[in-house]
Amino acid sequence: MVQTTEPLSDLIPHTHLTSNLSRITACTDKLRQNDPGFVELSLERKGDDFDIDDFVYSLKCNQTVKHVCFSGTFIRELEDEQWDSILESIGHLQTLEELVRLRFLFFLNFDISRAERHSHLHR
Amino acid sequence: MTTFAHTLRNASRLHKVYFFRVKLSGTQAEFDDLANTIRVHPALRDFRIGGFELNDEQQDLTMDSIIEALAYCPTLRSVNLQLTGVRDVAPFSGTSLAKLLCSPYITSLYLSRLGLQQEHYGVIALGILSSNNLKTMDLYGNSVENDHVIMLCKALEHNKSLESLVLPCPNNNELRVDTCEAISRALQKNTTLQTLNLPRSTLDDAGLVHLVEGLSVNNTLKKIEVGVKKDLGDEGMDALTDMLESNYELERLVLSSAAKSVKDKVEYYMRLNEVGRGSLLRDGKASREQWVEMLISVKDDLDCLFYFTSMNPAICQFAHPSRAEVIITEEFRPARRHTINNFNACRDESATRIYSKPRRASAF
Repeated sequence: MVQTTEPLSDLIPHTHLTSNLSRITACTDKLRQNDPGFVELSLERKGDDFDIDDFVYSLKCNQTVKHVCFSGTFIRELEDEQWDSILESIGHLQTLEELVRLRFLFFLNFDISRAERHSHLHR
Repeated sequence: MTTFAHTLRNASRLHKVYFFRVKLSGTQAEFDDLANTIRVHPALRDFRIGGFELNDEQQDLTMDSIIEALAYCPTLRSVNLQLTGVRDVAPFSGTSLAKLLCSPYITSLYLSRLGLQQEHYGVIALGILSSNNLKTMDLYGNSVENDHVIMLCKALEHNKSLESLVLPCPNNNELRVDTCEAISRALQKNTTLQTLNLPRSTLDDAGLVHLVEGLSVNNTLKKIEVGVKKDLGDEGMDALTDMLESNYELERLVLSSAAKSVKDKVEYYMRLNEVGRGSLLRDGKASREQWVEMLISVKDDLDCLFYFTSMNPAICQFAHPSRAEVIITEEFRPARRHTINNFNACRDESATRIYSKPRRASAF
């Protein structure tokens, strides 16, 4: 999990998100605290103690997170029903501005067209 | 699908949705419900679904309502749709795509690998022809014929808004000569395009000659990527060299598959353009100070230094203090015994005469 005030899309290309919290309980606690500085939720791994109900409940309690990104094994190991639950709970985030779901983080740039990509790469 | 619609409906501040590799499943009614949500969403600005697939049993399902909704969402500026999975045909009609292309709100449209068909290309050509606000369009990875590319290029001739365009390449990767002619004409007439990509294309000499003809006239394009055959002949190389000599605006020219010597040559000219040779050579009115500043700025690049000094050998002469056109050098010459006296005598008698009778510089 990354705590920042920067938009996710600006942050990710420059930052390694391997610093995700390994313990999902810490994440849910953080969500429930409603710290105004906690605006970005980025999850790459589920962790052994992942509890979908607890996570969904925490998401529904939160009123601060603006940017949400799910990627990596978190996505790959998620069952369809679990993803539906999470997506539904995200709908309760009144503060949500960005929602990103990626298989791999480096695919975040998929949105950049070939034209743009070349101009960016070679600039 | 229902959940996604529900989430969108509730997240009234949501302005970016980036999904990669998602399976869209649901009934037609659920798709239409999502469309209704998108259409009236108050904040959605960027909607990107890269690599979506529909279930096998959804062959009859269309995304027309969603495509139309994207066209009418007043806050939306960028749309990216990319299809993966079993379908090889875009799951929406030309009619709905036409509405998306005519949207007064959308400025960036990425429709790569979407299974576009004949009816879509006709609509896209019309969209390019009439659009006033579309700045970016990406059609990479779609199956296309040479005739489709020609049609798109004809539309591009008259477009006044597109800045970046990625054209798909015909299935056999070869652009016909008449296709290259069409691209050339588009480049000669279009005045807004800054980036053009023709990935996976393979131009031969004749095709390259046409393309560089367009590039010789065009002065707005900054970046272009095109594939060429590895064994380019003299005809293609000569045309390319002539264009590189005269085009001061290109910042990046990628010739995929070209031989290393060709790439090196292109890279050299791109470097010259990057440092701003156009400002010196465009109208031939650059001052001596501008030339000197240029030499200073490229002092670490011998290739560039050689180019600029060979383009204006007079710049090697020393500047006259009173800005004479030709530069005197006596005072900088290493003193020699048999010239010292003579030189001093000249100065003593008439220093101004030296300056009024300048001589060409000589190497020392």
